[in-house]
Formats: sequence, structure tokens, C-alpha cells
Amino acid sequence: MADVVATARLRSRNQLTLPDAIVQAAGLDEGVTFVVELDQADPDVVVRLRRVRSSYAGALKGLYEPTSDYLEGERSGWDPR
Amino acid sequence: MRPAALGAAIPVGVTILLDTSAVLAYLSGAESASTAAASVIDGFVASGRNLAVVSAITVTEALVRPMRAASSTAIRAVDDFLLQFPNFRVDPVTVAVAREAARIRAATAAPTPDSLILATAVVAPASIVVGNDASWPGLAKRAGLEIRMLVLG
Repeated sequence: MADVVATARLRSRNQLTLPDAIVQAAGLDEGVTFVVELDQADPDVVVRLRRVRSSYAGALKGLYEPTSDYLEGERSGWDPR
Repeated sequence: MRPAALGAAIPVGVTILLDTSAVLAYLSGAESASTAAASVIDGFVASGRNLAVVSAITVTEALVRPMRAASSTAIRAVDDFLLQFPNFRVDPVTVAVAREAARIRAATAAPTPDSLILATAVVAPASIVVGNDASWPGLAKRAGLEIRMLVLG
């Protein structure tokens, strides 16, 4: 699938309006929150917007289970050897 | 725990500390405590009903597996949840936390990470610790903590 690319111009008081094409393609709704990152190592990609999800419930399913075993393993790492 | 029971156990406006066990159950979504963890976090915390605190120790514990798996998506999800979620803050291990952890560990022989997380709740201060470790209520009692332990599972 091709990337959706559009331009936006920073206006007075640091206001930026996301282009309709981006809003529609991403399915963004009013009130959505973004993390705004500045990548100083890459001057061509100055600012990156990342959507903050309204819920992370189950976002990492399959990564930690069983969580009790995983956590016990992490905490046992503090035990003296 | 059912939502009604959770609502009764966590009064409106109190600050809660989420142990890593609750955070992992929430992120997993596939454990017996996951539904209750989601009710607390997506219901009570997201709405501003309750402020949630986690220890910086939880940041470490939640990120080891994603980093070991070199999953940038998982790392970003953990970072965004712990650092950007509304009404949620990460408290550092300050000298006061370290000192209280020493007191808890001296009194109970609890493992150091458990002691640091409980000490974070004391210093925050949080009224309730929400977790999924059935041994913590007894541990808190032996440590003389006036904080209530809520076991989700």
C-alpha cells in the first residue's frame, strides 16, 4: 500500500493543521493525542507525530505470558548468585 | 474482580500505585487479571477518577522483554503507555524511596524490587497498591504499611 503524503505549513503561534488526506487515511478523530518527537540525528525528518492510543489493553498480547513467570524471572535477577 | 467490586475497592479520587504485575496483565490482555486491570486503567485512570503512579522499576521490568525481542513496536507501546497515558506518572527511585525500601526489606525480607515498588507507594503517597501478587497483602501487613493491597486475580 502506498504511503499517504501531504504537506502542511506551520502558522503563527506554532499552529499546524493536519491535511484532510492524512486525517482521513489515518482515521483520526477530534481529541486524539500525539507524541511529537524531534529527531536531531536526522535533519531531513525534523518532527515526527505519533498517535497516543486511548487504550493499551491487550496491546502486547503474546509477549509476556505467562506474566507471573516473566515477572518472577525479572525479579529473581536481583537475587545474589 | 467485577467492575462494581473494583469501584467499591478503589474510592473516587484516591491515588493508586500500579505494580508491574497489574501493568503486564493490562498490556497482555490474556490473563485472568487482564479484565480487571483494564477496568482500573481504562476506566478509573483514563477518566481522571484516580491518579495512577508506577515505579521506575516497572519501566525496567516492562521493557526487558520488548528490548530482548528487539521489537520497536512493543518498545514504543510500553513507552507511550507509561509516559503519555493520562493521569499516570512514573516516580523515580529517590533516596527517600530507597530508604523506605530498606526498612521494608529489613522488616520482611521481601525482595529488593518488591520493596522498592512498595516504598514508591509510601513516598508517592498512594492509598492503594493494585497488583496481582497474592503474597503482597501479608507482606504489607508485616511491613506495617497503612496502604491497602488490591489483588486483581
